[in-house]
Amino acid sequence: MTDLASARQQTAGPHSEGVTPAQDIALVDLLDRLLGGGVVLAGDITLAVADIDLVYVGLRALISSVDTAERHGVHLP
Amino acid sequence: VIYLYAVTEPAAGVPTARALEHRPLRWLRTEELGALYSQHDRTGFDPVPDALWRHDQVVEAAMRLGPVLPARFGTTFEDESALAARLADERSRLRRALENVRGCVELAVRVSFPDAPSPGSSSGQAYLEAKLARHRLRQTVAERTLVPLAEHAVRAHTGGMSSDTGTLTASYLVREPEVERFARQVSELAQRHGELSLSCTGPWPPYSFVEEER
Repeated sequence: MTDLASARQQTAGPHSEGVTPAQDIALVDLLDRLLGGGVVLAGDITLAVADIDLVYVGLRALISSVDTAERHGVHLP
Repeated sequence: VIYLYAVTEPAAGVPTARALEHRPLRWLRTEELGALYSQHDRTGFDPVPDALWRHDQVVEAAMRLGPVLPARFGTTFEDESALAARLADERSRLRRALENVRGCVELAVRVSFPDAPSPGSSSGQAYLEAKLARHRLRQTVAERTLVPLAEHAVRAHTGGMSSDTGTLTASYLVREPEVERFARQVSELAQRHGELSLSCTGPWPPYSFVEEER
C-alpha cells in the first residue's frame, strides 16, 4: 500500500489489536467501489460476466468468514 | 485497447506508479482535463485482487498531484482519440465533478451485529416475520449509530443493509485535514456501541462521489 494508504486500517473496535482480516475488509471495500463506483465514461466496461460472478461468490465467502471470525470473539477493526 | 484509470486536471502530470500488466502509465492531456491510461493487447480485464489494487494504486498516486476522478474498473477505449473525444463530450460534467472532490478523500464504514442468533420460531411465517423485523430494527440501529459521522463529512452515502450479511455500508467524503477526527469519532462510536462491530477503511480515492445523483 502507499503512503496515503498508511491510514487504511484506521479502524476501530474495542479489541482491534486482535488477529483480524483487515486486509480482507479493505479488499471488499475496494471491490465495492471499483465495480460499483468510479466515474462511468464509456459504454465499454470490459469484464467477463463469469469472472464478476466468481468475484462476488468469493466476496460473499469472505464476508461470511468475517462474520464467523466475529462470532468467535475476534472483533474486527 | 487503452485502459483508463482516472481523469485529472490538465496540470496534474503523470505520477510514478505501475500500470496493469507492467505496462507504462501514459497520460493524455486536453485543454481542460488530463487522463491516465495504459495500452493493452487484451480487451477484457478480470477484477482479481491484484488488478484491483493495481488500479487503486495508480489512482492514489494521481491523487497526490491533485483532485482525481477514478474510473470504474474495466473502462476501456479503442484508442487515445476515442478517449479524447469522450473527454471533450463530457468536459463540463467532469470539471464539475473534479471541483466536488477537491481536497477530499473517501472513508468506508461498515456496521454489523456480531452476535446473531437466528430468531426462534414456531411456524415458517412467524420465522420470516421475525427475521424481517430484526432486519429492519438492525438497519435503524446501524443508521442511527452512524449519524455523528456525517458531521465530519462533506457528503455521505448510506447503502442499504445487506440481508445476506447483516452489514450496513456507508461512504463519507471527508476533507483531508478532517480524516483523523473522523477516525477518532469511529473509535468513540465503537467504544460506545460495544454490541456492534464497526470497521473503517481509507482514505480511498473518492470512488463513491464522482457520479452526480448517486
